[in-house]
Amino acid sequence: MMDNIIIGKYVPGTSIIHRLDPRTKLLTIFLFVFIVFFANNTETYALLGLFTVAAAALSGVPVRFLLKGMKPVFWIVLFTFLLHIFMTREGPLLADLGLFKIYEQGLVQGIFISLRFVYLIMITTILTLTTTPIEVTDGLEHLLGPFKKLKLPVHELALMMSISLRFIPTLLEETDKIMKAQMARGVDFTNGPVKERVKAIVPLLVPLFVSAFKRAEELATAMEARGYRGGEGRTKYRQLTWKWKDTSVLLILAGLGVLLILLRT
Amino acid sequence: MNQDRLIAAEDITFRYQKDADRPALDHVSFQVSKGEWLAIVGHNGSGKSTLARALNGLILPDEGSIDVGGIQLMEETVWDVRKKIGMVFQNPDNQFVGTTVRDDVAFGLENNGVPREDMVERVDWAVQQVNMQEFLDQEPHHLSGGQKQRVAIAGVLAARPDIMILDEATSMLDPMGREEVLDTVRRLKDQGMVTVISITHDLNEAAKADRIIVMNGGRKFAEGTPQEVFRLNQDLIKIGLDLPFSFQLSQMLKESGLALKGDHLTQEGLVNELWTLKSKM
Amino acid sequence: MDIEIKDVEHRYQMKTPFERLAIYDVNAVIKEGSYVAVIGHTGSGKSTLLQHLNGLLKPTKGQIRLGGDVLEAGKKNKHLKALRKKVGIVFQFPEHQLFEETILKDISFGPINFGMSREKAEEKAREMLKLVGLDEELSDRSPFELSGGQMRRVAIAGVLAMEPEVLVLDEPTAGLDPRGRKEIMDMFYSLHKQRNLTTILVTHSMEDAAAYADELIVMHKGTVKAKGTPRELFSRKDDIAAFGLDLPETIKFQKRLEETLGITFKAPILTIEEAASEIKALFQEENAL
Repeated sequence: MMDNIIIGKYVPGTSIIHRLDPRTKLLTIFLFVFIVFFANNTETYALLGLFTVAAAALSGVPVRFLLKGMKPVFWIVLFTFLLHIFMTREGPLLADLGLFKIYEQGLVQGIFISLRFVYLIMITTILTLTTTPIEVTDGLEHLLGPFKKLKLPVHELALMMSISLRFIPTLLEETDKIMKAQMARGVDFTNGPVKERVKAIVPLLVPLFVSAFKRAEELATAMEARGYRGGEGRTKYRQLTWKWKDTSVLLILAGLGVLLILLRT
Repeated sequence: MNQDRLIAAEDITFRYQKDADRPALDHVSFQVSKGEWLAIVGHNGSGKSTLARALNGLILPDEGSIDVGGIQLMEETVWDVRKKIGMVFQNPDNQFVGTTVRDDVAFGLENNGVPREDMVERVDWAVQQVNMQEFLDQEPHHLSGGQKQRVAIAGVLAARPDIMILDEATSMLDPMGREEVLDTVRRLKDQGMVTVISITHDLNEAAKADRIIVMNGGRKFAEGTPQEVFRLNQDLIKIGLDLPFSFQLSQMLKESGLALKGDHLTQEGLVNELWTLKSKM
Repeated sequence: MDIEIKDVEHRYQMKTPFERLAIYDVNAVIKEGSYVAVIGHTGSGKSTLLQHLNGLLKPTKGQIRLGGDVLEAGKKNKHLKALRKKVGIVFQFPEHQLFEETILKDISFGPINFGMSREKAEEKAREMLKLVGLDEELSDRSPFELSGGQMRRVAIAGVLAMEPEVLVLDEPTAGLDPRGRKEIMDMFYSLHKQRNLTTILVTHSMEDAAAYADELIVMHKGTVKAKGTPRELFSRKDDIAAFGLDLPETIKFQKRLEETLGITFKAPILTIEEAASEIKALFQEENAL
């Protein structure tokens, strides 16, 4: 059961995107959010589209995974699209459906705004598919480093994340075991009236929580025994090395931003 | 102080709840010498695990003193003591901190501020010592209990302590896992890398130690070589333990009138003596 | 009820890239009232097999007949709940399933799920509490206040209270100290004898299998490699080792003794008491001559 779940939807690979520093990828998402707003005409959207498709191609990730990443937002995008189509009343009238009228600008705006979503989600999906959860954690920890001065417990947050990630498969296995044990005692998790199934959560959650607390206690003891006493004076085994390709990506992004501004209407 | 004496515990008393009538540890004193394998045995609740945790300051005794490698154990010195004592716990999952094998082995080194280049070397070395080099990048849920415990041992080794405490480290493992772990520890001890204290209720495991301390009801019940301790026979059974096979069989044969001399800890020993006896007939 | 396992195969996650064959060609008959031990290394399929016995898993090929019920590949079974009452499984580390506010409630949980009235269930619960060696006083305490060994007994009581016809035990002594192990195994054995309770023990401990079981089923890499009484199986000189299993201490000792002394005992020695009396007899014979 365990191997089935690709945590964080990471797809192993060796593409250049995979090999980028996670900080680069996180920064790209962050900056891209702003950059999409620069587009406001066909040329600019086309340029963004080119960038997105190029990133997808370079990542080597099969298209079906990318499409899967789009699934959750499909309805939002559709809704936005329809909203713009029917709400924007500029430009020549394209179609008259009685109650609803579709104007050219409505259609154009609908497409453009939807594209913003699509591009953003695509870029984010490409990045999560090519970066392991632990790399993301490391990247975040580094990027948030400066905030330590503002008393943000960056190290502790990162450690919490990495320990949580490590325990997800273990907890899933345990959930499975507890479910089986309770099923053997007559609990039905799948059939029966909703009320009964909701009640069935108790014999699942209580043991899970109890065991989770016990784990936490034992883990804390083990960490203490191994000399853990907070982030002070700690060195790091895992390293992130910033390379030329990382700088290049940021430069490309900057270039993209500039081009968009120039090509805007 | 005697060079050879790594740990000296004097009159340790400890209560988990301050108003409990029976203390978890009741005036316990003992010593550990460099290079030996000491087994601390007892039924569940006898105080053996509590004793282990007192040694590296996970709990601090209410009374008595503990000296580890020249350091008096106190709240302030706890972190220095923990550099000298590494501990492997019972539950293989609940001590595995890192996302992969190498991350976990490095954890203790990170805590002690070891520079990265040294860390890389020591992690590789430690993982080799426990024969897990093929699993360096594996995630814990892909490992068996025995493998996880070996990773824990590597984590201890990498930090280069003088002493390794195994706190019931084999009781949740299957027979194969138990064998893997004990073989690994024995090899490391024989190579002089660590002094071993193993907390266990497995008498077959204890039989392989140099010395045994038997705990019962928070007190030290007996101490000596395995042979000396097992001769207490029924007394051990009364306090919830059992005897290793060969030893028990030797006793039973003696009781039934056979002219057996030895108290055998191994099957070979017993078989050989029986052969000698038979050939004299 | 008898249990008949015929040509059973189980594949996990069929038709996905993660498909895995866990057990195959499994055939066995477990007669009512017998005590059977299923032994095998980790990964041999024991755990998969035992989950079929109460319908938690269904075979992907073959069928399992449990009394009047049949679990068959491809066919839906509507009586799973009734089956789960008839075949009670005590999983490994059963104390992890405790959750109720009081011990009495937890033990009654199973029986109530299977239709017993609360009063009757609580009565049963008290009875079971005593049976597993715990004080009735504990009824209203939280199960989490107890020691690990006591919690395990509560969990076992919770399965026994369901009044199963067949009891399946998955490594019931894992993690217990010697006294705890003996008490639990003796308890199950006397229950087996008193109530003619079909007992299926899944274990790594060759000693327990040899000491308690009437019949052994040896699993290796997903299939049944050998079946028979302990004496039959341990008479076969080399087989067991090939299946990744260790011989019980008594058998190992017997072989050593036989080799060194150049003798053969008439039957495999299964307990330490037998070993002592056989050796004594050996020396007495010589004396008599």
